[in-house]
Amino acid sequence: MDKFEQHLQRQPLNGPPADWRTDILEVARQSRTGILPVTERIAENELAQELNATVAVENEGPTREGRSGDQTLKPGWLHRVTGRMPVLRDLLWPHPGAWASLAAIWLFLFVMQHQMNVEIQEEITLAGIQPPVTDVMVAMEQHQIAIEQLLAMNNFEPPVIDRPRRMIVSPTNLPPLMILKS
Amino acid sequence: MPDELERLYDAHANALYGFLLTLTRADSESRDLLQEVFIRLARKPDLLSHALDERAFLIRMAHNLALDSFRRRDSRDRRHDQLAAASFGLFARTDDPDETEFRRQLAGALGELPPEQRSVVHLKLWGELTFEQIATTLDIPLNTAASRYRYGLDKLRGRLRPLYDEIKHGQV
Repeated sequence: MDKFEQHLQRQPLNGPPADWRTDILEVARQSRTGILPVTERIAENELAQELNATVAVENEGPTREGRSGDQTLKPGWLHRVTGRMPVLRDLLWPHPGAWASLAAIWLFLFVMQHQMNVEIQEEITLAGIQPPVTDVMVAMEQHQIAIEQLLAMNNFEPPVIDRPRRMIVSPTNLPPLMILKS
Repeated sequence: MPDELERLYDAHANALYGFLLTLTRADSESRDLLQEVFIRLARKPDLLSHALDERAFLIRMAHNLALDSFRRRDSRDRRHDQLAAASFGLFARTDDPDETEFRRQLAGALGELPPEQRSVVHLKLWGELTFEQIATTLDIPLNTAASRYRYGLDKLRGRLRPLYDEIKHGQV
């Protein structure tokens, strides 16, 4: 190591600010139980507001509220679900709220389409219009009955048709005169 | 009596923070990543039970988290970070104006290195790791670690040598 490298090595680095220690260790301890402190909760709410998404906030109940200075809240349902499944979290990150909104829109469209189909079916029924498929089905059924009746007749025999023998025309079975003419 | 998490923080937070700050060049991102390291340690207390070298294990974890963070950011953010790179406080303050200028330019020159060279240079100079330890920590071949350090150092030398010579000349 030359003098230049030694000079670089002697440059002292800053450490993390002292107040980080308490915050980082507190968040780490809270993460053991899956409960986020209020600062994390506020950050999550801000993100949700930006995305116009609804983040459910559930209070812990009277036992937690009773603690002095330790107002921790449960994380939102989306955060809890994605937190338990790392693959899902990676897939939905960084905008799980946007993905959830998209899924909600798709669900809404699906329900609307289904509802419209039901309404159209009801209108057809009320107007007495038979769909063409029903007519075809009835016709086929009548046709099948007629065939069964015909087959059930005892004296019915299929006609015998004499098929004419096919005459093979070749130079060997023609009379000699015709060969000459041709 | 401090618990295990506090012991780990007191023993390694400085080194991890310096490494993360060198890599990310952003104070807030370094804090997020440092916090993520300790969240993982809290959730899996036996994570370090099989680690031969605590420091190397934690630096590797921090390195992987930083790489994941880089992948998530788009190029627009990265350009923004590069523009803001000169303002981050990697080095401690000093009353000596020459050293202050040298540290400012050193921070800027480090920021111009590619992240892979920057991380090796940091671990070699300020992490005081050998090339073998760096190769193991960053999961790269030994020769790659050595060559990245050489290239990185050459760039720093090219950028800082005039100022360095001036400072040394003034001291004589």
